[in-house]
Amino acid sequence: MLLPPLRYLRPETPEDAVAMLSDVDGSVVLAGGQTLMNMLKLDLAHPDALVDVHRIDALRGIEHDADGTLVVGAATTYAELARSPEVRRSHPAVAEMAAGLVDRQVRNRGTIGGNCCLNDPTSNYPPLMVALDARFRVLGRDGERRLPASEFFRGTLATAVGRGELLTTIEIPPMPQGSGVAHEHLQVGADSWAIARAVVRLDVADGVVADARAVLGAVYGSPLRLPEVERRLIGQRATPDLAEAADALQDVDVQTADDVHCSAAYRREMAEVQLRRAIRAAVERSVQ
Amino acid sequence: MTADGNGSAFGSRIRKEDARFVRGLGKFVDDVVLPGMLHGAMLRSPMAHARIVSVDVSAALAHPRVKTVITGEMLAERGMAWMPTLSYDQQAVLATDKVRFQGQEVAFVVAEDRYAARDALELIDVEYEPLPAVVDAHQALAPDAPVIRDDRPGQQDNHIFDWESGDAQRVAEVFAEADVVVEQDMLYPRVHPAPLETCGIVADMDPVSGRLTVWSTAQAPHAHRSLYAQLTGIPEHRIRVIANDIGGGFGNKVGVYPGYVCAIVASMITQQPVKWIEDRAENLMSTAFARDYHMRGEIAARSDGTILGLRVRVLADHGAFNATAQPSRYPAGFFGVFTGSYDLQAAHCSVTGVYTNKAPGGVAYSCSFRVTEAVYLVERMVDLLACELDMDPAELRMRNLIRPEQFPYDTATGWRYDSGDYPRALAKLLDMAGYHDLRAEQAAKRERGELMGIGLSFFTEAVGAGPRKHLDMYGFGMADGAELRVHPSGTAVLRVSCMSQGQGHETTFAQLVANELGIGVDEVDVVQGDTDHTPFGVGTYGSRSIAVSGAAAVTVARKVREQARLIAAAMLEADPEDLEWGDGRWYVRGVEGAGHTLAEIARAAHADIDLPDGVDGQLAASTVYNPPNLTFPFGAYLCVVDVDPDTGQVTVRRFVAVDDCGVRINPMIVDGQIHRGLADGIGMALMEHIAFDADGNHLGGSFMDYLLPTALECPSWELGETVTPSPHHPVGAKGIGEAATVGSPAAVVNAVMDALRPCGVRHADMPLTPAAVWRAIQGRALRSDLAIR
Ligand SMILES: Cc1cc2nc3c(=O)[nH]c(=O)nc-3n(C[C@H](O)[C@H](O)[C@H](O)COP(=O)(O)OP(=O)(O)OC[C@H]3O[C@@H](n4cnc5c(N)ncnc54)[C@H](O)[C@@H]3O)c2cc1C
Repeated sequence: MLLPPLRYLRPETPEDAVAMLSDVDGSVVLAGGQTLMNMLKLDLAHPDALVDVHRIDALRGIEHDADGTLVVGAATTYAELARSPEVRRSHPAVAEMAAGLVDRQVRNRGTIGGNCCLNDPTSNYPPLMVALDARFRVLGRDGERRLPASEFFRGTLATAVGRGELLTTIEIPPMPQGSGVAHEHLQVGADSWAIARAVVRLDVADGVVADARAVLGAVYGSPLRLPEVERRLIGQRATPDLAEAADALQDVDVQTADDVHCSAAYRREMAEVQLRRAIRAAVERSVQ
Repeated sequence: MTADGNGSAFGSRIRKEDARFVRGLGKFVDDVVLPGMLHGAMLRSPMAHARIVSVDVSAALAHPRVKTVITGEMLAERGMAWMPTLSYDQQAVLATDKVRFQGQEVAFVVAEDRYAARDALELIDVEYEPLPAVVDAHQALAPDAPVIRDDRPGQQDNHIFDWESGDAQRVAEVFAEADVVVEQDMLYPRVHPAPLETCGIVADMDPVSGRLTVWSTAQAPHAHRSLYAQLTGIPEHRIRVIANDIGGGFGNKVGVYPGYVCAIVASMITQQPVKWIEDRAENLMSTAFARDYHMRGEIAARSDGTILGLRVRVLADHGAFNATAQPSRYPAGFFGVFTGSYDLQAAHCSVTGVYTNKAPGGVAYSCSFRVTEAVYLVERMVDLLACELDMDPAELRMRNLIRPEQFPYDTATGWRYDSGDYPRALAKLLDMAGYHDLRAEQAAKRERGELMGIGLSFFTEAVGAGPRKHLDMYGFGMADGAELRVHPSGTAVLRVSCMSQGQGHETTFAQLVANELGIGVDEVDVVQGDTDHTPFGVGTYGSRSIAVSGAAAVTVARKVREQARLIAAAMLEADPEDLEWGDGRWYVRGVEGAGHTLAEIARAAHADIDLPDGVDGQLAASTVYNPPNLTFPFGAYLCVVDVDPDTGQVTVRRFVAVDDCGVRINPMIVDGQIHRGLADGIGMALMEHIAFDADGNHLGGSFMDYLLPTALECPSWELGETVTPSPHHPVGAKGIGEAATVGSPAAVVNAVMDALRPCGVRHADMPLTPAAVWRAIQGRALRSDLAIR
């Protein structure tokens, strides 16, 4: 439970950060530190150097493009997202998730970029980012890559961010008129880790679901998109009965784990419950 | 109600110690830094049960910043490889022959800094030969179970003790007469007190004076001193134990841990001060856990709801060493009060203690020496009986509560409850909660398929241990000393043997003295936790501070007040018998307003007046208070929960608590103690649990796995009170430290079971996590001590 010896580096710009990440062996990004510092203390990560990006101005901040795309710096904290009136207006689900994350201490330091780059199965944001078709801007020595969420998340604790690279920005397209997004989750204690999580987005036009995303969190690997559920939602009238689309989960191989809090079987059962609830809530939130 | 004190110091909602705590200026053991101080780190067993083949510390010793490495063998040479426990067993300080639980202490590294000490742990090479582990208490006595304690001469199995209480014959008779008998197996799972400050020590052996000074997290500093003297051979008068501020104890810091002994030995060897502070995982894995009681209850009643008798069989999992901290003659603590608050004809319990390959402990976490388990048992049984008889659980309780005129009440198992008005407390609770409206709301919800539950619990605590004749800790009678000195200016210093871990003794005890002497609360300072500066006593646990040390403080203050009477009489040239005390003065009867305040008398005591016989030239006294009986606080609790039928998640919507702890000295501190205990109850009932896998691996070594409740799970507490003074306590106080922890888990569980009644669920064990409740709804409740559900 003590920190190992480490180098600590504090670059001024994203480019400096990338240079350090490529040049210094065993270096990793430190953002809010709410997970990384614990991993170091528990001997679960063994980097030689920390590149602290949380004070780089270019990585912080919330803006909207001309087309309404929400552009968020990777080192923007949950607290900043939660209290932003612009985010609350344009992408309420993003702000609400931030406002509901753990406790004030974690919200004041934890970052949306850190949350996504960690891609822990229990993390809040990855399934939401998939549901909102977010794009990730990743900076490396050779310039910037722009990846859709589907390519960004690459499995448990793994993303497309490679060695020497830095996630700089997350872009979230404007929400279509009439769309409703809902996030449902279950945990034992209010600040313990999620047992099950589902995010559903329904784009509703003239009372009919024009497009849909149904995504599970708290599963092995990356957020699990559920095409069959989405197929059953699209083209249907947006009524609470749509929750039945969750039945399609029966045929999906949802991979979860046993642990001291519950069994994998319970997690699977609960994934379905959360999905059902998320569909119903998304219907309610959509503007018809 | 405040006897002959003037009462002015009671009732105020202040806390003297908060000024330093809220500013982060408390002085905890880890704040102690001494010149040349070294740092210790403990190597612990990765296995639950294994023979030690070899321990090679050469690589660790070669580390440039390591001073020494202590092994079990080195301790054995000094006769210190084993230490006595408070239950008259022995516990390995450092393992020599076998390791008997995961996390057991194997070697102790001493280095120049804590990083080097930790690094060097990885350089120690221990070869283990794994042995099968006994994890399930029910398997411990199986004929083929591996014998854990082969260090004990003659020990052939894992049996520790059998203990019984009550009259088995009478119970058989009343059971034979009964119309209904209800039976239930239940587990009070292993939980952990998890104080936010972990355990630690700084040991400083001064080679010149031969004096050992120890700063440590000790709820019982004097008892620690005696044990260190016995263990190290250092004479007791050359040992000083200092407990500064303690960040929570809850019984976790009563006993002596191997790390303390190792730090002391390390200081003796290196002749430098040595600090050892355990980390969170070490605290959760190796220090005193609580409960782990496997119980079978049987309750017998007439069909009209009159309870006749109660029979209980307990299998108590004590872990690898019997180190429970309770009065010597009570191996099951005060579990014998399991008849609770009811007037029943016969009761009997038998308790069997067993060794398993788990950490030692059992009595901790504000359990009042296992009253927690007792209350849980009886309150669950009464609810099950209510179900069986289809009676309202409030009505069933009201019908069977001990009546006010029956006090002092002798229970079927031999306890004498001091005072109480139970029906009044229950009536007040039902009124505050709006019980009938709640039941109506519940009925409407059930119609709609919603799961709402209302749970009751009525508890009687047994605290303030205790009369020396019956109660001792490791041979020390449980009486407490107090010393009081009034300075010439009239300010006072009180020295007590108990030790606050955050309960506010500095304020409450100052109020007790201020109340007796008619001076300000700020004019009394309280000294505690330093064996060189306080009288002997056995410490703070079992809610005994106010009941025993508090009574000592009042007694000594009254002694000083009597001295002051003699001096005042000399000052007033009157007969002491003609003086009266009131409004903070001694005055001649009939001339109120005249007379002398304590400050005036204190000044005179040190001046040149002719002192009467019987007083020295100072106002000072000491006393030892030996309580004539325990005190019996009580209370009535009600919990309202909503259960999500699809997930099993429980939400505690309301919690109403009516507590009677006798006279309340500081209502704010009393409320604070109750708030904490209610949160404990929600934690234990819904999420806390030390689980193991089949190999004895500990699965709760961090707060990610061992879940504590936070404000987010707690409703806004609704508190009420009744006041029934203890007849034998000098100010009528009974103690409140553990009442809510004892009383609340049953209320929460009863509420959840009440909610699940439409699903046909009769019982499920704590913790009622979403998964556990969901399984119960599916009709597949599992034993909760088996890790994976
Ligand atoms: C008590 C507690 C409870 C928690 N509960 C939850 C919960 O319920 N749900 C939840 O989602 N989270 C939870 N968290 C985790 C928290 O949200 C973390 O803040 C988050 O997962 C990581 O964000 P961070 O900014 O702290 O990243 P860090 O801890 O600093 O980093 C996390 C990882 O991401 C990498 N990284 C960070 N930023 C970048 C970047 N810009 N480019 C490339 N790599 C990067 C780091 O190298 C590291 O590997 C909890 C944390 C605590 C302490």
